[in-house]
Amino acid sequence: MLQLIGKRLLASIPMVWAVTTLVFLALHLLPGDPAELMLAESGGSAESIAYLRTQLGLDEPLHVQYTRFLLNIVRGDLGRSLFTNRPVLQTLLEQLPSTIELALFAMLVALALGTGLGILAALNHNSWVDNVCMAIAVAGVSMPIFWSGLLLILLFSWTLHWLPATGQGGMRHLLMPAFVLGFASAGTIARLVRSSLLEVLYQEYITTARAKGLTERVILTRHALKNALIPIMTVVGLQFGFLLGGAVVTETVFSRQGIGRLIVDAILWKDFPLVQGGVLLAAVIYTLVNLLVDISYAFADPRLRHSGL
Amino acid sequence: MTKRRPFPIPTRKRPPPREIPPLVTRRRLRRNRGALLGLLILALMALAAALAPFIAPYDPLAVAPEAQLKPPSAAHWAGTDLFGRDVFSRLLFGGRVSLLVGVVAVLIASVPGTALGLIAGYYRGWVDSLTMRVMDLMLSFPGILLALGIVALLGPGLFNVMIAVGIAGIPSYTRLVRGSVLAVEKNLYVRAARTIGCRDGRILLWHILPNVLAPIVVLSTLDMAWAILNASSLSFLGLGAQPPMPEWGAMLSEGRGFMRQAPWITIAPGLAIMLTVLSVNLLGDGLRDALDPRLRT
Repeated sequence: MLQLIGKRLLASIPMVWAVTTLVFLALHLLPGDPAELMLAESGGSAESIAYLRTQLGLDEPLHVQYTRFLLNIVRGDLGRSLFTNRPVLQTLLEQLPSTIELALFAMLVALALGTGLGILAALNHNSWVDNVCMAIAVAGVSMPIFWSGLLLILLFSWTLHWLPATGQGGMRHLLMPAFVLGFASAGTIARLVRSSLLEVLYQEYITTARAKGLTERVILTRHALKNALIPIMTVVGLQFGFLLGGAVVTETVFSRQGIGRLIVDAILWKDFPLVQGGVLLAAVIYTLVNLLVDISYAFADPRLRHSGL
Repeated sequence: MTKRRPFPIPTRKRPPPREIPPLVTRRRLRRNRGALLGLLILALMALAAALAPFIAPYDPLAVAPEAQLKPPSAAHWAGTDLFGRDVFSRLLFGGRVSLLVGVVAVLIASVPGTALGLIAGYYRGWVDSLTMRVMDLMLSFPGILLALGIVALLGPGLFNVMIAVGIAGIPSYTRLVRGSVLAVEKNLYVRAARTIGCRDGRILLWHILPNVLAPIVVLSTLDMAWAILNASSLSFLGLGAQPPMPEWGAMLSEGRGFMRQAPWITIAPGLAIMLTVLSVNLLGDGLRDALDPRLRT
């Protein structure tokens, strides 16, 4: 098991390095460097562009910039924000807990709602319950997050006055954003749970369990769900990426702090070091979450653990 | 007297009539009520968008200060916005933008994605390894974040959003097509084509591509829903279509500040986005079941 974790950890190092390189290259290989992009629109003079270029170290050869960029990252230095002049890493880390909190609660909502709908649909295969569950799932996938968020604010904050519309702090502020984000992801999970469970329900060991005289409840919980839910774990990793991306919109709608909103603001202000740092951090978190999912997958599925993959 | 035959002669069973794949697909699609509903809604939306200049009651950009924030009525079916512009007319014109964004983004994703997948799957070796590592790299960014990063580089604007959303979609096509090519390439007709001296380009385009087209069609449809949703999200964030262009995401963003006084400005475009994405998803699901049931999740 340790060997497996070690292998996966080692394999993720080149990935993180490659992600870092891509983020660096993307910003430096495009026509027009960041200094020009930032100042050209506001009518900056050639001197001010040249000054900013020197400030950002853009006048040095690419390999020198790249080496410095990597060394700085290893030291935990992602540069300084052009607008606040504060260290990028510090700014991002301040916002990170809020985004992680939102993503985790949204994941809980997605898993609870998704598995619930999926199981209900599979157990009532080809009935109206199945149709209703799948209709809810498709609606979840098709509804824009920013729209469902605004509708919930209209209903629960402005009409019923039950929940605060925007801001931060406590469960009451988290309920609507987490639900909106989780609902969007629940659709995908529900469809997967349904098909996975349907496949398992026709396996021979389920027939054997029935022949033994086990109750349907025991068959479902002990035999069917255990096996049906294994593929769901991979999707959890992928969905975490979706939730990180969805947080960008959710945080804007509910005026919450967070990495997503910070990145959007940074793009609008053309604060490139902040955009670079934010995208890099999100990609690294996503890679690490998928690594964790990979490892826990092996815990859940003994076949994988023993094959030593 | 007739001699009895020592053994009964095996009667040759008549083979079942050969079904023509497009007809099978059409029949399966016709039986799928969800897909038909999706197709119907999408067709109506496309028709309304195409005929927008003829059926829109008002100019979508015409400002009318006297008709500011009017609720839905006989004169303005979906009400008016802050500048007194007719929301229904803007919805019709916005449909053109959203559908166009969906189609263009899918083209930007599918054409290079398919080409890369064909090359990687056919030539294997280092070309394959390199392509797939780059695709893995792109997939290590959550979809919309990759698009956000690209918009950050190219600058806000509708065209850049199409490119960004398109590029973010490339890896899924490359992965899918590569996998299909690996399976199709083993077929006898590919070896036969090679034996008679066909060039690689011809084999790829005439023998392999037609046989991997079904999953590409399915993915393109589902990808279009994703593209419309993401592009409208980016416009909502102020990074896509810029005012006064009537784009559904941007319209929703404009109406956000007046949600209490004039909820129709926000509700109508959101409903339009949802209906479009829903219909494309339903159609995509139906196509997947009809063309390639193995892809079903």
